[in-house]
Amino acid sequence: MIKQINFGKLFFAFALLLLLAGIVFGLLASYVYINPKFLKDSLGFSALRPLHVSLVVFWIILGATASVISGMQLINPNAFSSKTVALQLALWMIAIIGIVIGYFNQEFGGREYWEFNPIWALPIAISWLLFLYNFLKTALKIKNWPVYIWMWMTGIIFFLFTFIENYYDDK
Amino acid sequence: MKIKPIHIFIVLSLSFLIYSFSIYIHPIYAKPEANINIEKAISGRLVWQKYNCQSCHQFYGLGGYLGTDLTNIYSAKNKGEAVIKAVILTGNDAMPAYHLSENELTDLMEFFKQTNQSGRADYNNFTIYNNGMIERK
Repeated sequence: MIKQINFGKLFFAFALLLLLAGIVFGLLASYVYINPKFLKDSLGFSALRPLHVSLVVFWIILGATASVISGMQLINPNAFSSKTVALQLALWMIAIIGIVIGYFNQEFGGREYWEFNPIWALPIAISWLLFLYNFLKTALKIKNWPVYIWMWMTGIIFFLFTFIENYYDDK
Repeated sequence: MKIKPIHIFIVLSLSFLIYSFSIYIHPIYAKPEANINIEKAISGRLVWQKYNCQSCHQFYGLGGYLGTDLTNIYSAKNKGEAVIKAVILTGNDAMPAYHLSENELTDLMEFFKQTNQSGRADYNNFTIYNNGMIERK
């Protein structure tokens, strides 16, 4: 049954949901400019802004992931493992729900745009490795790689570089 | 041996990785002024990050735009340590009160002192050219 699921569409639906949430928090944050006292002592602008930014960044990342998975389905629907793609999506969902709850509970702080508790980086990293695994399963069956396969691989590998870089501690 | 695209990809990726991590191994630090306690200033930067000051405030014009640019707040007219501490602890119309410990406050002040000495960030003194270059007037 899991084989029949269109994971590309499922990723797109989740990504669009994040875009919608990102817009809502963006609008709430922009309203603070009109009325600075709005949500000042509850959620606060300091949580609204990273909520908006994080959700929109996740929309961009997951929107791109959805595009690649849709492409993989078109190239060879049987090449990748459906179970690991399902696990990949589940891990993203767990991480993002945890991150949003963390922002609401004021459990965040650190580098701008990436302020959530580092524990949530773990499911994201595992999910990304599963993505790389499934991508390679599809790509290695192609003899002469078209340029977009190179671009996808570059994107997947270099995301890992920049992601790991965030958690390098020189202290 | 024939060079294949995958070889070029691996060489370029590894070069990027080595260069990227070499920056972390040999970081470039500006020499701090003699009157700055660098350890305290570093702790102060972590306090800045812990309380997400960048959500509302800017350094060198970058950050959130609800609050003011704090690059030179330490030496700003009618400001200084006492006023900054009072605003942090009591808040104002747009800013909630932050309950920082005495140590956190001291470290943060050292951080402000250091950034203040790193340059001026008043954009009124900048000229922006059509090609995107920015110069100080």
